[in-house]
Amino acid sequence: MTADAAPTGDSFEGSTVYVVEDDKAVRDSLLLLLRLRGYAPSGYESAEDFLQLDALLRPACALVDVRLPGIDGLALQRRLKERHPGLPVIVITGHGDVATARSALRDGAVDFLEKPIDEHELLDAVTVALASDQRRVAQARDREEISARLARLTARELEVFERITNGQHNREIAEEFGISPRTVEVHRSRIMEKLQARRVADLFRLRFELEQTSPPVA
Amino acid sequence: MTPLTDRLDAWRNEGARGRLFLLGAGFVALYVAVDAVTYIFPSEPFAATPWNPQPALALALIVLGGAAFAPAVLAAAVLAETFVREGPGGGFGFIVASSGMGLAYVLTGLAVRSKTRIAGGELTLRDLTWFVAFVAVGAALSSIVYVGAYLLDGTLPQERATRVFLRLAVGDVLGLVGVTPLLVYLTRATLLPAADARRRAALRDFAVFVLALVLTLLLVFAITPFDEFRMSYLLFLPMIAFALRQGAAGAALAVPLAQLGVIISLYVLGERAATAFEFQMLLLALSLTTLYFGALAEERAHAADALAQREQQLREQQARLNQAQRMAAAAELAASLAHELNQPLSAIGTYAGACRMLAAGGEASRRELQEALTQVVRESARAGEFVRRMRDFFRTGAADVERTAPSDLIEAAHDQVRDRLGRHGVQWTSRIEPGLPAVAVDRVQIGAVLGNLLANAIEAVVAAPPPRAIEVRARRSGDDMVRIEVEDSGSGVALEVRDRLFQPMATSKPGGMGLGLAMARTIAQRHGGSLWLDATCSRTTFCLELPADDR
Repeated sequence: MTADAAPTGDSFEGSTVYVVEDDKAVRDSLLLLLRLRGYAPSGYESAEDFLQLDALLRPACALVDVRLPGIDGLALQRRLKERHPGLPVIVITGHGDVATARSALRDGAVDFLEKPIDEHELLDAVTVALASDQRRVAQARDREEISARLARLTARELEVFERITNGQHNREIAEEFGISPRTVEVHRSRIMEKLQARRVADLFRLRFELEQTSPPVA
Repeated sequence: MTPLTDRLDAWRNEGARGRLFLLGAGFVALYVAVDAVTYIFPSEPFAATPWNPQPALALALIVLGGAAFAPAVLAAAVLAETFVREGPGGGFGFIVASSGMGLAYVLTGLAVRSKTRIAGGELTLRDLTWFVAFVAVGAALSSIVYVGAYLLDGTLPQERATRVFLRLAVGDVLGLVGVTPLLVYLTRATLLPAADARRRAALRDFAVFVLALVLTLLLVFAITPFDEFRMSYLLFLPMIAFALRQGAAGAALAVPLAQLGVIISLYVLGERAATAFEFQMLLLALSLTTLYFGALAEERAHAADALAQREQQLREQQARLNQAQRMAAAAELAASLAHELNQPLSAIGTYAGACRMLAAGGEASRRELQEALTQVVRESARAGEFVRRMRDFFRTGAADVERTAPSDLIEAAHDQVRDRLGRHGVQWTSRIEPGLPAVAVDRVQIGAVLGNLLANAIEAVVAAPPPRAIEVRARRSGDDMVRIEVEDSGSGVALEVRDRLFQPMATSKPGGMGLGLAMARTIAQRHGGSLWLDATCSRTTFCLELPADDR
């Protein structure tokens, strides 16, 4: 191992890492290491305890031991998919059997670590997991922002936005709604203004981004 | 010695016609010679003898060699009729009678060959029955043709036809039934058992049999002042005894010897020719009885062999199964040991990583560093403790048995899980019958069993909705046992799991001692006790019974 004792300078410092592990010593050691690495770890003794949280601080990731009393790690992973969608899960196991690993990865675990846990593998896995969650969080934020801007449009403006981004000309739109091309022009400049778009191409990009992540507008 | 049947096939495949021809010629010569030797008590002036072993040569040749030898058989029949019996007159009857007789032998041989496994050296009850039936029909057929031909020919007076027919037919049956099996066994070289010890026993039996047969014949024919026919039933004794001891091969050997003995005795006595037919019937009964007893003994021996073989197979299968179970138990044990050791190892590794960072942090993080190092020491002690516990557990030799109160065992187990019970809000009840005797147990081992049962119980109640409760009871069972029951309020053991609950690898549950119920049951049994799931209780109840130590 190389001497890399200094805390990592990555951008995930302060991100939350949820540790679900019933063995106190294993849990505490993980919490200490992660804290020293600049993360904000939070420990839970059982799946039930962790599931009692209503909201999670994002970006975040979860380190989940497979062997847990009551609801086991794999079952917890499945429940998290419904309760906190997109939360990256790293599964830890004391005995690295192929079946468990396959099952965990099939259910969307970002990584699978064997005990005794290798420090580098752990930190790599956490970094990858937090990066993926941050991407997700950023996307969600963008989407929310776009949605907020869209919400400022009137119903007619929303219809016109859809026609424009379908590639229709002003004249066609005017005919369809029985209004003058001049009025369409007014709608268009209002839309550009409300959506903070400088060019028509920006409208197309917004429409594209929206449809990437959510159902079509209107 | 290669069986004759195999050699015949080889010769046929090689196209060694010369050898086949030689065999046929040898057979013809032998046939005529045997007919000549056994040409005794002919019913003068007509040539019907009471014992005809030579057709057996013909039958054996066809049974072993097939239809290819039909010409040899026909030739032998005609030649024997010509030279031995000096076929009466030169009419057409002589040719028809002898060749018809030969043809009947050929047909009989082909029927036996296709319907029975005698050619392969087998003589089961079924084979024997078919064989006897074909021989009876074949002998009757050949005798009808023979007598009919001479009757039409005019050589045989009508009033003697029935008598001649009977003597001839029974004589043929006697010879065919009596000698054919021996010939087949001789050519297959299976007359004696292959194993040395059994071969010696067979030879000894044979010597005793011959002696007994000679003595019986003397008793029947020479010594007794009575009519010899009255004492002849005595012949059954040595015959049946030998057949029962030596099976079908023994019977095949005994029958022709007895037939020969009786015929020679009659020949020596000479004047008894008048009673030849009665003796024919006696010999027929004797021969069939002996052969059937032989076949019966053979089948019984085969069945016993098959049974022994099956038992051997079952034993081997059981041994393999036991081996597999031991392997499975070992694998499960190894997995749980690895898990138990991995926990402290993993914690130590992670703490050490943290320590390295704290050390780089200088004076400010000194206190934290000390705390983390303390954890490292504690975890390594935990791993060591686990290893020590396992060593105790697997300690070879006598268990460390001491007189212990059941309540102490239960309290010790309770102490181990007290934290977990509190954390999950599990209600704990223990009810110990007053005046309960002590038990003689290894505290570590039985402690592990109870720990296992409690760990299972905790898992079960935690997985089920509250209220969560575990009750442990101890009471006397019968006169000399103490029963400890662990009951939990969990949702019960699924029916499909119940059956293999105590098998190694049955548990896939996370957590727990990892020792498995199979191991726990083994420990209980090693203490002279038992461990089982009480299916009569509505709640999951495991019962551990240990012998009481009343002193």
